[in-house]
Amino acid sequence: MRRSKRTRKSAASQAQQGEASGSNAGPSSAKTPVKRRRSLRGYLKDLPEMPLDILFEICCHLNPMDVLNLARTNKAFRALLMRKSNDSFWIAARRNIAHLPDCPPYLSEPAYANLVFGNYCHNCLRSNVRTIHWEFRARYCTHCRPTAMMGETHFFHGLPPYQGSNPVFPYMIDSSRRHSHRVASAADLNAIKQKWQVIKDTDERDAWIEEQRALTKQILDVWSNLLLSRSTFNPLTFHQHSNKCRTWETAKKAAREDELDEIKRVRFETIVEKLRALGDWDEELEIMEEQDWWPLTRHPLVRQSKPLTDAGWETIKEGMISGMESMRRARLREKRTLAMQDRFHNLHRASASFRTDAPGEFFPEDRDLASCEEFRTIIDVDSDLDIDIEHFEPLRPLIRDIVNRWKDEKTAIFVDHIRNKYELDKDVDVLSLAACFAFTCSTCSLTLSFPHVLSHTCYYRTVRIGERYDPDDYESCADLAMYAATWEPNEFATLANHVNPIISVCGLDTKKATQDDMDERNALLVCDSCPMPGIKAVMTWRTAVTHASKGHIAQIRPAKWRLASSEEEFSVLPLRTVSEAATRERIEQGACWYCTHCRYGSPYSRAEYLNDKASVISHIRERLVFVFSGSDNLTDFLR
Amino acid sequence: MVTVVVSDGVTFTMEQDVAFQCGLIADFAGGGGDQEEPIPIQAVNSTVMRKVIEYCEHHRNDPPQPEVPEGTPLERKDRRGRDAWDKQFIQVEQELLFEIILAANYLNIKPLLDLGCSQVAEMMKGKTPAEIQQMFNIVNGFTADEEAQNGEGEEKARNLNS
Repeated sequence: MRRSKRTRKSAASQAQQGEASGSNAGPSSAKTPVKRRRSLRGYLKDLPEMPLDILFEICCHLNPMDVLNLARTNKAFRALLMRKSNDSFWIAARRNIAHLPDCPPYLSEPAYANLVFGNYCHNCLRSNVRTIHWEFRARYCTHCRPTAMMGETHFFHGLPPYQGSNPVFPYMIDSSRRHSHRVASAADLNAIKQKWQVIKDTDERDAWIEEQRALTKQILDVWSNLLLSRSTFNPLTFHQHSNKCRTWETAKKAAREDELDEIKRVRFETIVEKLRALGDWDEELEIMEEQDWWPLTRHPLVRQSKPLTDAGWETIKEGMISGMESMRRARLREKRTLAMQDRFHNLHRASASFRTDAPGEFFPEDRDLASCEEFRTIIDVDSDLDIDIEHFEPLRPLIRDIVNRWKDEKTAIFVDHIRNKYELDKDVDVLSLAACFAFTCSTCSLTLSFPHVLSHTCYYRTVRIGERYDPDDYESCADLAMYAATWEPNEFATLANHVNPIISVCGLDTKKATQDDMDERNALLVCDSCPMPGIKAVMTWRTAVTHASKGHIAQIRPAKWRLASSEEEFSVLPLRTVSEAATRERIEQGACWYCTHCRYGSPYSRAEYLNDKASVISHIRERLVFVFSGSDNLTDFLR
Repeated sequence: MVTVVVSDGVTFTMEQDVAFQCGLIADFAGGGGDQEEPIPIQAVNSTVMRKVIEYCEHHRNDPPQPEVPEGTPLERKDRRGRDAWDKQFIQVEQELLFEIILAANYLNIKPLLDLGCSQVAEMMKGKTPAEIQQMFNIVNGFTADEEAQNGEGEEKARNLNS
């Protein structure tokens, strides 16, 4: 038994001896003035007076750092604990740390405890330094490392001439830089240098080197005997203890992480238990449990690695309740978003199916259908209800009316937009005006006729993913689900600046002349600003508008129009017949096909993708698989 | 039955299985039957003795604890026989706590000594020197020069044994 072996000698007498020996207790945090509280009656001050057995028993329950802190409290404890004969206190404390390698012979127990558990820089005493340089028996902060550790260029100045693979001082490989290299402790090198410079005699120097190597070998053998059996000296084995310590350090970190995880787990379970006891969160907790406790485990009050006491629960209770409410709101919000996305996807499938009932008819985008009252009535219902494609089936007989109503509404908006922009009279039929036979999009400069302008893609504002939205707002949900907002008139311009000079040349009123008036006038025009020797460009008014808009830049070289003379009209008459026939043939060949089912069929895409019949068939097969029945009868889908 | 007389003259009578948890009393009685003569225990007063008897009565039916090998990690050591009652029992004033430790040491009650020492250790764990000084009313005897030297303390102490 331990107690029987130990003398019942008072620690006080040993303390006096300890002070006389001049041993040092190390850096003390006692620099901070200590407040005395008279009400607190402390009796540990009498501990040095107690039998050593009791102090030993206490140390058996402490960690080495605690013993170190105790040694730093006052002189008596320092003297007692720093005595080499009392190493058993440190050993008892050290054995409480699982798998920590024994103290190496070149360190004292207090120094080993300080190296392993102290967290300050051994050079500047800066705190929170975590890296231990085991080879140098020290911790150095990042500020001190450049001066405290010297590169191998310093290994040869003022030191024994031969280092090689048998150094007389420890070094380590520094891999933190681009090229890894050897570094040694400046303190070690300075000690070696001082000693080397003192010794002048060659024989004495050789003896000293051998002594150093023998000492090193002796130290190394302590750690290497268990690992390597060898007859020759291996410098690598110097690092065996360091490697052992690093392994222990890694294991310690892992163990600490496990410990913190366990604390977090217990805290989490306690919080769940407390929330269940409140009675209001059972349903929410069950749902979270099904989702592996997401997002409760991420809550800042839950994921702390701090044990939760009853008093602690009272402190965080309000915060947790508030957190649970926000988590419930977030869950319902996500549920709503997912439900709405699913429903809008089914709307897309349903509308594709409806389009087959109205081949060749103008059809609005799905986003516009979503805003129609009939569709909204089906979609905008409780999140718990499943809305499949079959739920849209009752709208099949109504779709033509819905589309026409939408078209009428949007046409009225568009007409008002043009009327306001060009200050046209209310009694004027805007769409019949000659100036409105085509429009130019100010965004993409594309020229379009009515009603194609209504489905022009520039009308749809793009909705970016992550854009702020309100899940309780139906329109906002639709925007996010379809990445587009509803139709809205854009900056669309008429071709008035090109058409009006032509109307004037034809002798009609630019504010009132309709397309029919111009067709009846049937004038042929000549552009005089296109000087081509021996050639005159004679054209109809529609071709003239296209020529002016595409062939001339109004500000630099505007078209100059005049009516063709009788001779000119007569000479182009045969050519006009041939040109009209060729145009009609091109249309029949498919040059003007476009798809009414998707945006790839927009006039813009038409030029690129749907410029012949083969590309139209290919487009349908690739893009519209789910509505294409296998028939090659394109007129069912296209016009 | 075993009777003891403590330092302030108070006499305690206890059953044998309670009394024999104290190694000192067991040695005094020689393992025999009832002890008629009161056993004098001069190093313990009546207040502390009451606490000791309370502990021994609570643990009178405990099986004998196996000897824990030296070097057993702290966690395993602490789990040994320290239940909620023990934790509650040892929550006492510092003065009484140290007297219980001294009494347990004197009377040779190993589990109680362990319990008291682990309680003191718990109070010290994780504390800085200043906090330990404050908690246990320890006077900081370091001079200003010594404080300054303390900065290099372990650096010097490092070479203490080499």
